[in-house]
Amino acid sequence: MTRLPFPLRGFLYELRRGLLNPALFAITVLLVVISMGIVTTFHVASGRNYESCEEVAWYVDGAYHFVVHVHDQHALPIAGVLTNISLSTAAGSPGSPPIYFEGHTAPNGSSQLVARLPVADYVYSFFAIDPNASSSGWGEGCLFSGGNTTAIATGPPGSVHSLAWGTWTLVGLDSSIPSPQLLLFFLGPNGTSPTGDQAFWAGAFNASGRAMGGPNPFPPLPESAMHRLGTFRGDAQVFSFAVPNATWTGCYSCTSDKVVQLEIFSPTGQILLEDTNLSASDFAPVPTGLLVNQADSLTFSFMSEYVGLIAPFMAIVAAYALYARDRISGVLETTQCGPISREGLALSRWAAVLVTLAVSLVVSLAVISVEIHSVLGVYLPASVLLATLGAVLVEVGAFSGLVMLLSRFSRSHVVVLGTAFGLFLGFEVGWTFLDNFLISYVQALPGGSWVSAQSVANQFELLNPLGTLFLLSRIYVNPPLLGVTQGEIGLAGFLWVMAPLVLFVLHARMRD
Amino acid sequence: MSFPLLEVRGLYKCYSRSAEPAIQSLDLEVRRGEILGLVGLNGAGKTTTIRVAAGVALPSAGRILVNGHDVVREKTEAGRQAGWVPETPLFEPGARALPLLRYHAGFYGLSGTSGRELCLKLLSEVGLQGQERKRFRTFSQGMKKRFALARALLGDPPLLLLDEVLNGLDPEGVRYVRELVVRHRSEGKGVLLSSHILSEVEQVADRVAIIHHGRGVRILGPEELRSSSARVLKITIENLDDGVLELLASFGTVQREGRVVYIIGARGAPAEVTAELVRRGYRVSEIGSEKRTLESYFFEAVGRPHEDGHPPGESRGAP
Repeated sequence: MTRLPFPLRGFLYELRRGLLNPALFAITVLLVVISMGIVTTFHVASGRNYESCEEVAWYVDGAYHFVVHVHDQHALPIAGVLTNISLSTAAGSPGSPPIYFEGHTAPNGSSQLVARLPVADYVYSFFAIDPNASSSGWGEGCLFSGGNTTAIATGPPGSVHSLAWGTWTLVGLDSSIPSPQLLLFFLGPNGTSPTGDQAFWAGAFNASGRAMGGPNPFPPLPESAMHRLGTFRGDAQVFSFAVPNATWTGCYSCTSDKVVQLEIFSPTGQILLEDTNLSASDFAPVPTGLLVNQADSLTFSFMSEYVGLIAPFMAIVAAYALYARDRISGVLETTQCGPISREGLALSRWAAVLVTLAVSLVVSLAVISVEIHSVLGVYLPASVLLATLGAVLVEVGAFSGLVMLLSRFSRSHVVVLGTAFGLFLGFEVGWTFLDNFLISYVQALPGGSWVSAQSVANQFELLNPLGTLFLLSRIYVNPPLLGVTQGEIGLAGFLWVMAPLVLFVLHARMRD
Repeated sequence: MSFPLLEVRGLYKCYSRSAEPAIQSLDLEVRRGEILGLVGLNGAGKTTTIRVAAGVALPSAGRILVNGHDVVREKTEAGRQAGWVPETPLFEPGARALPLLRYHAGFYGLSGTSGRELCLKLLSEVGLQGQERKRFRTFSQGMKKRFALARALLGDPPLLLLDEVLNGLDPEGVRYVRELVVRHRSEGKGVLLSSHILSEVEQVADRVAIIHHGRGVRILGPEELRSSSARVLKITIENLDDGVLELLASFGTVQREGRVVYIIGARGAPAEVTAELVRRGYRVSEIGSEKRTLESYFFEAVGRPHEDGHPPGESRGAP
């Protein structure tokens, strides 16, 4: 017969039981869903703090067509924005009353205004103002004046001209950090949708002496000589766009100004647009260190706020489902009578709980990591992932050990679960009150300061099993003010895992 | 090997400091090729004794060896030597029979295809064929007992610890258990059989230990158990002396209790015995024939119900 040592065979069974436990499975799914929400924290963290507009126009069948697309810094369209175009008679004819056209942006962020006027030399201006802008605290909207319609009607009928700044926008996740994302707003002839059109880019050096926005010195490149950005699926399309240094080739008069040459091709390969008006500095590879630090900070913060709250709850449920319930109901005895030591059985069940939850947390961290990569273009360093996982496992290990230990002393489901959740609330909520009291007290002492109070509060946090993640997250914020070292945090976490476990195993070995 | 399969020496078990001890200085042993019946009133300590021997409860004092292995110090090896069927088997309600049995088989190093086949064979043997994939929440008490039997037989242990194993079993199950323990004995293994059904114990046990208030009060040997199936003459003699015992020995095995003499396995009619006694000058005030049973021994040992102030059914020890 095949012989497997019990600890492995039994442990695998316990693990399988844990992974298939409906309650744990549900919580794991919940955890993963919540983890997916880390992206929303990026947006929420920065908030909608500015409005940007892209404008295009064309003339066809006796009418000027203006389209304004309004979006925020996340490239998200802003609906309901008041758009206004005013046209005055030909420049140099003062006193002509302007003609106004008004509309509102649709849910896709665009508003089309049609001015049925004969071709003439008009001066135009427009603005787009979100009525909620002032109340939500971000900018006043877009405003442009002094444009001239001459160019609009001089090209081939229906050809689309970009107005004002152009038809591209660099979109940042946060107003303070660059982003490897590019929003292209583009319409085909007569305002047709660019769906199916292809966007390409290439890096180049600016011509010597040429100012940004000056005449284009670069001939159009074929698709084969460029890098593909992607395909348009609508008027406004966001592309991932991080320009690596190594791709910068070609030298035209070789200045140090790097520019990005952008071209849009129809599905048949016909070039529709060429633009070299893009400064490479906007697209330069984002400072990786900055982003990683921000991602680290975001990850720790997110884990601390959400996962850190759910993990102890998961540990309580898992330890109850895999050990405490069996112990209380007496089911455990039919296992205990077999050829296994009492401490061996206790340890294998505890380990099964820990590994089950570790699997859930690894899945959760993987989701977070993939999301961060898809948004920021960087992977979280292994040290950050391991530190985060370790900190959450401290919570999990401590609470699963506590629940198992409690079940050794009480044969009541209500008492065990009630005490466990009570401890969780105490460490989570009650601790905050104690912490605040401590900070106030230390600050009020002679010579007390905010810094000394923070140090004491952080040292106090070492006594809390939920404090490991919190303290690790603060290391990334301001290590000198922490008042505790990484070693101390690690030791406290280790003790929080080991103390309940050792007591539990000893009790399992020495008591009924 | 000369040592017994189960050796209990000076067992003392107290569940809490304030409670009366469940077991007080109990000694017993189960030898190889023997079925030891364990009988006692409710709360006498039968279940506690078996739980300690099975390694699920720890002794407060004393020494328990299972096939030479101490159940406390050598728990793993002792656990391999004994199969336990609890009075009320409890299994995770959501678990299924075959996977759970395979899990338990893992304790014995039995896994893979051979382990699975063994589990299927055991489930079939105890009458759970076709129930392998069912969850325990759908099992009756008798089915749980059958599963517990299958679980106890894993690893082919030399000692079976059966606690009220017949409770909840249907007649077919009772017959299976009876045959199982007899077969076990014939293979040179041992069984500790606790039961309230004294007739069942009487039927299969080689010896019977009677415990009362956590103490072993009597162990009935094979002779006494054999006597339970023999005819017994009970004679009350006014002028009883030692000579009468010699005289009556020719009629069967003689036991004296005060002025009463029992002739176990009596040969000859009561009138014949009376005539012989009268001829020798003994005054016989009463003579009668009766059948001694384990029940009569039991009540002799523990006292009639309510005689000692502890009514039968009073629970004092095991949870």
